[in-house]
Amino acid sequence: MTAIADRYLERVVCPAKHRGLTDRADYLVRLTRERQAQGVIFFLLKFCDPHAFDYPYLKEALDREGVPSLLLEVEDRLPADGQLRTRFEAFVEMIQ
Amino acid sequence: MAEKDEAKEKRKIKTVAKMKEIMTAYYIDAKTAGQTGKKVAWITSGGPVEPLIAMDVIPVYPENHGAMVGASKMGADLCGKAEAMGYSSDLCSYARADIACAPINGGPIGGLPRPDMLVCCNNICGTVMKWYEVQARFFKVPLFILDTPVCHTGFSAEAKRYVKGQINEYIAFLEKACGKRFDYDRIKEVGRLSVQGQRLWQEILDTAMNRPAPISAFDAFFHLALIVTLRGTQQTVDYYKMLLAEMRERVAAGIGAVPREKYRLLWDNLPVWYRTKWLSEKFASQDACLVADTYTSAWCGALRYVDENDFLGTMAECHTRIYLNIGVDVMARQVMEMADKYDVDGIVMHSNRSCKPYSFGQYDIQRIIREQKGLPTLMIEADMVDERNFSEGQIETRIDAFIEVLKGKN
Repeated sequence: MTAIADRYLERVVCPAKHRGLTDRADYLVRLTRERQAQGVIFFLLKFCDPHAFDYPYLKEALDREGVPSLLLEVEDRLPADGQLRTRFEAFVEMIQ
Repeated sequence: MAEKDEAKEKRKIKTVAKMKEIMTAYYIDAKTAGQTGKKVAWITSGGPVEPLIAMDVIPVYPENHGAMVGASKMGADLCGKAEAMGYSSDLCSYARADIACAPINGGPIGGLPRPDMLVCCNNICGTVMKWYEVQARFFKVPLFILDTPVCHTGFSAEAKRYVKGQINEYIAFLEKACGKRFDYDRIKEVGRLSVQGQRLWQEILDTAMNRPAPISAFDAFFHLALIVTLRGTQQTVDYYKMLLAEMRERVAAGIGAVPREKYRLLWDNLPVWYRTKWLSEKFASQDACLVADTYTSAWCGALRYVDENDFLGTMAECHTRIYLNIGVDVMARQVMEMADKYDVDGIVMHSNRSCKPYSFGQYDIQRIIREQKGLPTLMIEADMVDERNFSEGQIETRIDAFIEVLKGKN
């Protein structure tokens, strides 16, 4: 039981819950640095309000770090294969 | 428009002028707080305002401001600005409008006064938490979140303990933010005035039980401002006494909110702020009066649980067991109780793109009402502030068709 509770308390913060004002941006920036990621893709599920509210400040935090990002808004069904591929390829080209 | 000006004049609510005066003075007071040394707190519409009043903090309601943005028809422009800032167009239009106003002092009153603190109660939605996080980062001020778990049917001992503990934290938060001790004597007085205001507001709404109803939901949308923003003050009590007296005079004189009241309807969800006049005239032209609504009555719903001799002690329950924080079947039951009380012929539901907790479940409530009461319901799809989501032709057709159904039943 304690382990389950700890997991809920210590996992990466879900945006629907409140823990500090910049925790999620701090985490994202830290992770980007640790893994030396050259870009971040935001996979935003339409109508998930908590994520949508966090997107602008998360993007801003990445911009400050000079890390480019791509926003992909998807509905419960993914868009056609080719469409996603084109966007990913364009993003990767931009990074290179 | 065959109606004589005289009759129209007679139907106008006279206290409106006083209300405008009070609200103007309130906003001037709030806008000049920087010069007078008073502290300003932004607070959500379902939040406990009374402790702020007891601490001489000026409460400011971004949601009330959102309503003003909508009524001024500035919603689409401001929401568009928020979208340019990266906020999805699916997000609440109050939040979008407010977030867009803050950096440019936009909107009908040139922006809200800068907050010294933010008080957010998530009893009405989870949106307010995200919205207030955005503003806490922007203004760099402390944020207090009062977390009220959804209580589907009852109010468990655990939930009660959890929320009550937070009321104490709220007081500690205010003491720190204001740099002074909380006044436990003053809150008793503020609490008494709050309860008195809520009772008066309920009595005013109840005058609509008369035929014809002297007040409509469209009037209530306007007169609501005080019970939301200045609850717990003598001024609010005095104003509502005046309004109640006027409503009683109207009942005695047989003055209705609409010229020929034939159909009595109940409104569900927030108003369509930029179209209240159009909707009000549309329904009136069909001899329909919106005699009650689930929205404005929410500010006296706590009367069920409040103990005015233990205001702080019952605050947790009052703020947790509100209309938007209960199960859909309990909501349906409350709507049906209102339908009986005000003796309505049908229900108008505003499926509000912005307000998901209010709109989610409406189709279930509609079905329950149809099955248990056989009452016809009309669903209008729109948005409270963002007028880009309002299709006049479609809504007009639906209203006309709905009135035809009512005619067939009578």
